Amino acid sequence: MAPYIGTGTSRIDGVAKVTGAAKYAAEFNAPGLLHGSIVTSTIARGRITGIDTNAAKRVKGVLDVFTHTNRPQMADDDKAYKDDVAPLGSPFRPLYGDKIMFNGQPIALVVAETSEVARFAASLVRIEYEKKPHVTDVYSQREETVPVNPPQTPLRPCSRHQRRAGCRSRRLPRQQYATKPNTTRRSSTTTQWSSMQRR
Amino acid sequence: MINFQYTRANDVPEAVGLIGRNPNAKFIAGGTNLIDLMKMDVEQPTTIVDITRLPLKQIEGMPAGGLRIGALVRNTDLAYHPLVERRYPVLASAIMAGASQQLRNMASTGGNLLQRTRCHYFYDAAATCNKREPGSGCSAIDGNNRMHAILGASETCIAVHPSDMCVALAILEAEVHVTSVSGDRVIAFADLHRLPGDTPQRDTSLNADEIITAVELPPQGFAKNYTYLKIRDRLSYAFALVSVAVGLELDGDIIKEARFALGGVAHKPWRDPQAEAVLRGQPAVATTFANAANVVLRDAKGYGGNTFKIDLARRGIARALTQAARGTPQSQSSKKII
Amino acid sequence: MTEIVVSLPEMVSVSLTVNGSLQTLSLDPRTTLLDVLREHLDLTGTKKGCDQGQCGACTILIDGRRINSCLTFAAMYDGAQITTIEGLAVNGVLHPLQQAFIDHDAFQCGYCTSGQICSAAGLIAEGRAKSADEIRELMSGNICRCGAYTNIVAAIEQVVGRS
Repeated sequence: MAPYIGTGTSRIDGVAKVTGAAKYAAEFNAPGLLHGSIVTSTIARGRITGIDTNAAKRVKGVLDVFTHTNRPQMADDDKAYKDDVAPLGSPFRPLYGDKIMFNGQPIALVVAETSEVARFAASLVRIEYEKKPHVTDVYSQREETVPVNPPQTPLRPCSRHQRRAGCRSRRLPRQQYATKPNTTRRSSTTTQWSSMQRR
Repeated sequence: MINFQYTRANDVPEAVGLIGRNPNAKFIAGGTNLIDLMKMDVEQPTTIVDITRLPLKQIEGMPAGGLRIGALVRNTDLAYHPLVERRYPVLASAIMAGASQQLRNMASTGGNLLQRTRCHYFYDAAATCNKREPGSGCSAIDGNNRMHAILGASETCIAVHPSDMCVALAILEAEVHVTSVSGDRVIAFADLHRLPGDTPQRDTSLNADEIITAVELPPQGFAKNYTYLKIRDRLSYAFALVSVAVGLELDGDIIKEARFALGGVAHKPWRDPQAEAVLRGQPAVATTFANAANVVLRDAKGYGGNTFKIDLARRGIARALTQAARGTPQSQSSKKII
Repeated sequence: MTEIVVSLPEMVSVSLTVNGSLQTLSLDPRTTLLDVLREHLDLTGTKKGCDQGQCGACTILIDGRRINSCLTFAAMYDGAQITTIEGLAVNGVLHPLQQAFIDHDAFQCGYCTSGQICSAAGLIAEGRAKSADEIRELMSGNICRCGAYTNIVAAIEQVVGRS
């Protein structure tokens, strides 16, 4: 151990990463591997009132289309969806019910033999919505907010000592930053069921 | 992406024959725009005609001094060709200002002319878009329109043409050679791209059964006094907020000939003969340049998210004309705007 | 609205020489070159970052030229010579770029790395980038969420300096 501390050492995963040998989530093959394509909500708030998966299911190579109406049994308890260090509140449960909470919310999953077929069939799923008004401006909802963890002591203006030192602020400067969505590394997962997992 | 039949054309008559018979067929060359649009289900051709084997890959000097560019010449090959670098450096500069080297290696001359707007509402099947679905509305006008047009727009569409190369071709007064089963014709560059008007679904004046075979450049290349200035939200690999292509001929410090066009501000590269006339015969100084900018922008209109472009264009035009007059064109690798 | 066809499309036969090895495949014409490599040839070194030509993680070399493999149908490159990240090392000896990326710690998560290296190999073959500014500009088609850019440029400079 001692010889490594303080020495410049190349990353142990270096060769694997620069040669393309390192494997990431969607890079594990398995016999009979299937592909999924997710259908997402095009409204930000409301309810699904109808899903037509007939055209999608007719595409050759599609095994099934899952929605909230035919999904497998899901747990009711929040604990089943969050880890020990998760923040307060209820975690998102995909395909749980008909409620739409955000634009882009996953609402159906097409399962097919190839990714081209899965993606094409997903484009054929037709959704009907009951749309509710949505708000995306956080500042406009300030009156509705509730502090989760209120500060112990209220913020104070600068003391005389601080003012003498040059601190002039009585109001905190506000800057608005906008970040664009990132494009690299789409979320993916490869799942292989084995008999051990059914307990 | 829908199913399609994939075929290859071995010569131009075969290619136009395939397109002529089938209104749902599309050519593919580089594929960098078409495949993107097909993945988003914006374009849904049922037949793809691969034209990458057609003999349209030459760049040749013409006897009278111009240049003939085959429609399948890749953008990188065009930008790096010695005749282009020497005689039409504004074209090389504009090409290298756009996309990435990977995309420039794939993209064809013809495809660059015909690429479609990158308006995010055009791309989003859940948004209303008169270009994608005539009569459905325009989500951009009251929406997020930072990248959209300030000139030549209509109530139906405020999209911009995204190409850099086309802005240079506009000032070079290129000619677009096309052919179909009915024969050949030549389209003046200014007439290729349309304004949206009431029919934003039609980007160009090309007929559905025509193929672009070549682009010809007249001899005048403005190699001594030119620039392509592209102003964007980041230093590279982003579309223009405003871009300016300039070609000048000077006699001492008097402007003899002047051409300039704007990119990123309209449904087509924007040239204004009145603005160019203001420059001719005048000294190449700041007041002259400011006059020309004011003329070209006299009818400019912002839509809220892009109103800043009007003043940005005013200053960009002045800077570009200065660069061209001084013989110090903008470098596309050093990002300092001199 | 065109009539949507729900049966499988007519397959196309495509021959590709990948890292020196000839592969002949019968493909759904919609299959991109990227998906052929990753799903059909089990060459997962080339990465799918955005699938829309905006990140460069899918960069490979075709006849020595760098392209984005996500924005091309495999059928369009029938007969081509393709080099992927897996084909850069020769007989177990790392390509100078691969070694330089290790030497300069030019990656963190490694997901953009294959694309960066193939793109840099293409850049060197083009012979146009001499300065750091030019390297940066001509590598602008490869993005890195981890922000390893300064080290990536240093790694490429090292190899450009030597060639």
